[in-house]
Amino acid sequence: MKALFQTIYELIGQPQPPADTPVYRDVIFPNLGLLNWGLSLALVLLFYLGINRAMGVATFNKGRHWGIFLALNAVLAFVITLWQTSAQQATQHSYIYWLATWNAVLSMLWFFLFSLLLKRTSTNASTTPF
Amino acid sequence: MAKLFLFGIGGTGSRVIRSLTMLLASGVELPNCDRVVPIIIDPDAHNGDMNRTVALLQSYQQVHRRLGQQEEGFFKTDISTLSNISADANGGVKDTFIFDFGGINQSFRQYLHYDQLSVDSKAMVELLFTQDNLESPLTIGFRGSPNVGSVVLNKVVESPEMRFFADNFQEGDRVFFVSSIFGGTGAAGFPLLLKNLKDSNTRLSNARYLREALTGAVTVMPYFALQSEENQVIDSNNFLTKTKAALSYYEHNLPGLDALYYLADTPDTPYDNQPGGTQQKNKAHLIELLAALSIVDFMQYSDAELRSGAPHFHEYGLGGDSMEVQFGHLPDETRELVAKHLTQMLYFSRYHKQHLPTDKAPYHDNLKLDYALRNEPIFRELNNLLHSPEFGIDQWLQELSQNRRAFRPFDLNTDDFNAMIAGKPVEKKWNDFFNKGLSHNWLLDNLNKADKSINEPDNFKKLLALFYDVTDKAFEEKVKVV
Repeated sequence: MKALFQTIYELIGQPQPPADTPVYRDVIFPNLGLLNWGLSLALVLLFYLGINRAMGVATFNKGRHWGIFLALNAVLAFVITLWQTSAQQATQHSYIYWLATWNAVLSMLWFFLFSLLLKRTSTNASTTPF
Repeated sequence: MAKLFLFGIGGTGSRVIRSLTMLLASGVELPNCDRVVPIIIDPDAHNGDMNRTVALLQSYQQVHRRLGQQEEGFFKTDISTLSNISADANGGVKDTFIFDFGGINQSFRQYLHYDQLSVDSKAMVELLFTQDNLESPLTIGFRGSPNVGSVVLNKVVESPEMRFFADNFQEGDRVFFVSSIFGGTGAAGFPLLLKNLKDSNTRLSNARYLREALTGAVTVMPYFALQSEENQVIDSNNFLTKTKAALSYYEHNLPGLDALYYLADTPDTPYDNQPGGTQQKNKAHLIELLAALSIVDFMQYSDAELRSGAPHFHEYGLGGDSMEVQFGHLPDETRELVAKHLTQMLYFSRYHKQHLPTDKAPYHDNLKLDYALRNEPIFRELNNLLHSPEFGIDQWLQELSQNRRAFRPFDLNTDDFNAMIAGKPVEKKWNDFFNKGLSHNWLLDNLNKADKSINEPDNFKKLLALFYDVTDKAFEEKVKVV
């Protein structure tokens, strides 16, 4: 799992400063990866099964509503990155913001993939986003 | 496959068939038959009432054909033209709901060949018919003169249509006549047709089946008045006199009838005095709806019930005498028969107009409605059936609500589904913030749920099934009783 997340997060380059690489690889990347999956899955479940099935809301199923959740997911992923790096006392560096942005992009990808997997279980959003 | 042959005679016949078609469209059951064959008999080929009824029937027929047989639902009952009942295409009968008079483009005098008659015959004709009768052009019917109608309508009995009808009449088929008693065509046509169908010496085929066929009729007595104007050929002040005269004839001259329904109402606001033609297009009236229900009532009786102690005579009384009739004024039996179905149809029609074109929802995407509503002819036909200002269901409900006496069970001016049944708003629980009653959201949610549960590949059939199910649920869960 660590190797997987290391591969994914280092697609944008090595952690900076290089001295923090071990903490990123051992703690921050796995935490971010798992939190990101959990967050995306939770929001997808909330959108498709919570709002658009269990609550019987049938007018919050448009592409723009899905887009709001997608954006929310990205913002939360960005904030989580800042929180995790701060919590693990990583050195302040512009890399953190690049990592947060990359995490936000990844969160949107997970959200999209989870949407494809789960949309059919929804009553009112089974054809959202397409 | 038992059939109901429904003879709609004259303007009232057309209007009652219009109401029956609306009831069948809304899903009212017509038991003991698989198919209704309306035959409109009216020599006035341009009659406004008749033409819009025919347009409605044609539209209904197209929609039903696409839907096919179904256990229950909108447009469940098969309505067919006379020529469609047989695979034999060589019957010489046009594929139409109207009896073909071949365009009687002459006056009654010319029709009788008056000028070639002997002196004695001329004297007899002058005894039976007024000058006005004789000069009357038959192109617009008999203008309230049954004595003229009883002569001209003899042509019906010898027509290819009637032979085709008799040739295809089978054991178990039923016959029903709809006519008014205070006009010309209906008052003359009903006893004349009945007599000829039941005649033991008839030259028609299947004479025994015809003679033994269960036969019913609704005779509509005066329920509207006409504006009194100088030089108008129809004077509604004579309606009661004509009714009494016709009733005294009916008393002894309706052989073989198993059930006869009488309906009448006290006239209120008079109609425009149009003796016929395109201008004769009266607003739908409650009496016509009740006359249509007499057909349903007749079909609900079993063969044994109808045959024992025939003829049966029926009259109708409202639960309460109100000039604005709501569901609450109808007797229980009628209310149970029509309230739910008409409400379902209203919900469907309203949703179809207000929300269907703009909905963004799984049911809408799965049925490919964006494309279908714009491009598929059957969807356009459905749109006409519901919303045509000429013959649509919306228009029919409007007319019923505007006429006097008004049938006004719905508030047709509101967009709120909760408030559509007059005097019976859908209850919203005060302690349930999310319960908005019968909201767009509720309907949409249930349409999407039904979309998942109904397995039907044809998008038109599925759309109708979805709306029938959801409006049924709306009535059962939200409206409950009216």
